[in-house]
Amino acid sequence: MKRPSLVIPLLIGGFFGALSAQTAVKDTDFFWHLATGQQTLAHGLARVDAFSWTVPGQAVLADQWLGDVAIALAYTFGSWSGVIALRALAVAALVALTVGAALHERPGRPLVALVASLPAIALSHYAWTDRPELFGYAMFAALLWLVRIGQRGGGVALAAAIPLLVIWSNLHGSSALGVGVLAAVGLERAITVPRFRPRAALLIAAALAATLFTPSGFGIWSSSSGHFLAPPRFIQEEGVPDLRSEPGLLFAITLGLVLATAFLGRGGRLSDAAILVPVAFVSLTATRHLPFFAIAAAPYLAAEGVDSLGSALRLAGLRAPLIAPRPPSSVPRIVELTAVSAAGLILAAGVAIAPRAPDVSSFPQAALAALPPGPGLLNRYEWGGFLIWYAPATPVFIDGRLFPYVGDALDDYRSVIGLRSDWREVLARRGIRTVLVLPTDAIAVHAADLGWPALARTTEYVLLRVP
Amino acid sequence: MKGSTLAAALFAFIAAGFALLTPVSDPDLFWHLASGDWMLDHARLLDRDVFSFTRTGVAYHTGEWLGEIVLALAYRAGGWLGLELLRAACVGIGTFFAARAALRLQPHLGWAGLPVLASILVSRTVWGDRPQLFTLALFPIVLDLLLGARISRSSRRLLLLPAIFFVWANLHGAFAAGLVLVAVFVVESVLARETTRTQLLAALIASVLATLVNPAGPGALAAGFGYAASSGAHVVEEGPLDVLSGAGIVVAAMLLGSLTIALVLGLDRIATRLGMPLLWPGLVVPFAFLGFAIQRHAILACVVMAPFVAAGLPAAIGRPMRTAPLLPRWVSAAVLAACVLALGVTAVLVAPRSPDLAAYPEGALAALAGRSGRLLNEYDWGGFLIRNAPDHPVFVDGRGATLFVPGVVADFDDAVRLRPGYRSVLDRWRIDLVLVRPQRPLAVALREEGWSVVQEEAGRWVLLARR
Repeated sequence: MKRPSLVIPLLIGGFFGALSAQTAVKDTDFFWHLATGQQTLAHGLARVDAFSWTVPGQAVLADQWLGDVAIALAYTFGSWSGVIALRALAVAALVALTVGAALHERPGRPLVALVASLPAIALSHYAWTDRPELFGYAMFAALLWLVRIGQRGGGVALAAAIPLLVIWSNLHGSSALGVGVLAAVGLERAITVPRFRPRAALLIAAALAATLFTPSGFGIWSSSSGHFLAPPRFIQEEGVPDLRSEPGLLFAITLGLVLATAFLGRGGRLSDAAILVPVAFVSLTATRHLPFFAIAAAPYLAAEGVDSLGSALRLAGLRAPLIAPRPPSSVPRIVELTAVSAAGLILAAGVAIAPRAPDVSSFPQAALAALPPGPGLLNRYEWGGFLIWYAPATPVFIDGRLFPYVGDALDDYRSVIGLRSDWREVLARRGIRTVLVLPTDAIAVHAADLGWPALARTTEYVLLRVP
Repeated sequence: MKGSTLAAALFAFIAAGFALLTPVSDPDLFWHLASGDWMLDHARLLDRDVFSFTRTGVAYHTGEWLGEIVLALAYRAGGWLGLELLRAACVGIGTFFAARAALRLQPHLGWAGLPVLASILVSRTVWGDRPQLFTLALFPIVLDLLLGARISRSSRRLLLLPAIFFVWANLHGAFAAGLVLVAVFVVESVLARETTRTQLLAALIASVLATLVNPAGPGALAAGFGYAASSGAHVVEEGPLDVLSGAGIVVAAMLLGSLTIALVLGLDRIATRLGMPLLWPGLVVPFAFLGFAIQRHAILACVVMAPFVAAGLPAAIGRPMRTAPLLPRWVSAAVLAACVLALGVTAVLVAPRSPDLAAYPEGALAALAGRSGRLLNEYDWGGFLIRNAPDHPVFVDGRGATLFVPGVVADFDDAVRLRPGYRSVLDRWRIDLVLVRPQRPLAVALREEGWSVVQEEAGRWVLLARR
C-alpha cells in the first residue's frame, strides 16, 4: 500500500505549531525543568536534589532528563524564543502525526482526517506548555501511527516502535502508556493471528525492556505507575476529569463520537479496541491524560466515522453522502520537500512574532528582592519552580517535582499552609523564617491576625517574616 | 413462571438482604426526616425554611416533599428498622427491574448476572436513606417498561408511565433522568419508524405533563435539568466519578466493555443479536456521560448498560443465544417463599436497630443543650443537628443547592477555611458557638485567639464558644 502524502499533515502541523507559539512562557513547572536541564548539562545527570532545603541530597526522579535537557538546550541557543520554538516544533509534530495517522486510515480525504483530528488538537492545546509532557503526547501520536501500520502486518513499523519507546522513556514518564498499548496490541494480534504469538511475546518483552534504557532503570516503572494508579489529586491537572468542565466536555464529545461510531460501524474492530479501550481508561484517570484518548481516537474516527454516520442516516431513511477513501496518489518528493519547507517557514514566522519574554505575572516576582538568602523559606508549591530559577540563593521548601517531597516535607507544607493544629510545631522544627503564600491562604490570614510583619505584599502574594 | 423472572427476583432478594444489613447513617437523612415530620405535624407542605437561622423564612423547594413524608412515615411505623426496610424495598424493587431488563435480552443467568451484580455493587454507593432511593427503584421500572414495550411492540404497558412520573416528580428530583430515558426511546422509534412510535410519543408528552403536577410546577423539571449542569463543587457525591475508586472501576468496565462489544459486533450484528441498533448508542452515550459527570448517577449508567453488556458480551465472543427456561409454578413459589423467609429472618435477627452516628458530634449534644447563641456548624452535620439539637437552628445543612447557595455556603467556606473576611462572617452572623472538625483552620485560629473549648473529641469534633 502506498504511503499517503505528508503535505497536508505537515502544513496543518506547521499552522498549529505557529499558533502555539503565540503564548509566552509561563508554565509553573517549566522553570524547574529548565534549571534541572541546565544542571544536567553543566554537571551531569541530576540524581539528587540540589534546589530545596527540605530534601537536599535526597534522590530525585530522572525519568524526564532528556526532556529537561532539550528544554535547556533550546534556552541556551535561543533564550525564551528558543523555548517557544521547541514548543512550536513539538506541537507541530503532535498535530502532523495525529492528522497523518488519520489520513493514513482515510487516504485521499484530508478534510475527514482533519475533522477526526480536531478533538485531539482541541484537547491537547491545554498541554501546549513548556514541559516534557508535551513531548510525551507527540511520542504517543508517533507510536500510534506505527502501531496501526503494524496491525496491518507492518512488522518493521512495530519494530520501529521499540527505539521510539527508548527515546520516549527518557523524555517523559508517559511512556508507560506506550508499553501498555504495545502490550494490548500484541495480545490482540496473538489472539486473532495464532502464528503471531512468538512475535507478540517478543514485542511485549522488547517494549518492557525499552523502558529500562533510562537512568532510572526499574525506577521508571514505579514512578509512572504511581502517577497512573494513584495520581496526586490535590494537583489540579491530576484531578478526576470533570465532564462538565471545558476539557471534560471535549473529552465527553470525543468518547461519545467513538461510541456512536462503534455502535453504528461495521464491526470486527478488535484491533481498534486493543488501542482505544486501555487508552480511554487511562484518560479517565486524570485530567492531564484526557488528550491521549482523543489522539488515539483520530485514526479510528477517520476510518469509520463517515461510514457510521452514513449508516445512521440510512437507518433514519435519509440519503448518506458517499465519502469513500481514495487510493493515495503518488506525490512527487519535491512537493513533499516543499511542504516541509513551507511548514518550517510557517513555524519560523510564528516563532518570529512570538512573545520574547516569559509571562511571570502569576508569580511573586516583586518579592524576589526581599527574599532572604539561605534556607528557611516556606513557599507555595506552584511557585517553587519560579523561585528555583529566579532566586537560586534561596532554596525552596517545595516545588512541582512533588515525588521527593511526598511524606514529611509535603505533610509539613500542608500543615503550615492549611493552618493545621501542628503548624507552630512544624514552624519551629523546620526553622521556617519566612513564608511566601497567597493572601487568601489560611496561614496568611492568621498571620495577619497575629501581626506578623509583611516583607512584601500585593493582591497576588504576601511575604511574611516569622517573628 | 419464566426462569428469567425468577432469576430477577433472586437478584432482588440478595440485594435487599444486603441493604438491610447497613445501619442508618446518611448525613442528609436527618433533615429529610425532620422535614417529613414537620409536614405530618403541621398537615401542610414545608415551603419555607424553619431549621436554619441564616435562611429562616426563605421560600424553597427540595422537590422531594412526598419522599420526605414517606421516610417520616416509615420511621414512625418502624423506627430505624422501618427506614431500613424501606431502603431494602427500594433496592429490591430497583434490582428486580434492572435484572429483568437485562434478562429480557439475555435470558442466560450467567451472562446476565455479571452486569447485574456489577450494577448492585455500584448501587451500594446510593443506598443512603434519602428520597434518591425512590429513583433507584423507579428508574429501572421505567427502563424495563420501555424495553418490554419496545421488544413486544405492545403499547399497553406505556399507560403506566404518566402515573409513575406523577409520583416520581413528587418523590425525588431525578425524575428528569427518567424523562430523558423515555425521550431516547421516542427518538429511536421515530428514526426506526417503529409501529409504537406514536404511542411512545404520547406517553412522553403525558409523562412530562404529569411531572408538572407538583408544588413547584414546571420549576421542578427546570431544577432537574439545571442540577445536571451545575458544578457539583460543594458536594462530593455530585462531583465527577473517579475511575480509580471501587464504583468507578466497575462503571468504567461496563462502559469500556460496551465499547469493545460495539467495536467487535458493529451495527449489523447488534441488530441481529440484540435488535434496536439505534437505541443502544442513544442510551449508553448520554447516561455514561451523566454517570461520569455526577457520581451519584453512576448507577443509572450501569442500569442502562447492563442489558447491552449482558446480551452483547457472549455475542462478541461467538456464544449462541439462549432462551429462558419455563419453571413449574410450585418451584418458583417455593424459591420465592424461601427468599421471603430469609429476608424476614434477616430483618428480625440481623438488621441494625440503631443508627451509626460515629460520623457525627453526638457527644456535643449535651454541651449544646446547656448553651445559647448562634451556632456555626459543619455542612454535613446540619441535618443531624436539626433533628437532635432543635433549639440551635443551624448555619448550613445538606439543603445546600436549594437553599444556601451561593451566599451562605460561600460564607461557610470563607469561615471554616479561614479565608480573608472570615472574621466579618462570624461578626455579621453574630456567631457565638462553632462546632467543626478540629483540623479546620478556623478551629485552630479561634483556639489561639482565645475562644474557649466547651468540649471536644480528639480528631473528630470541637465545640468552641466566644468568650
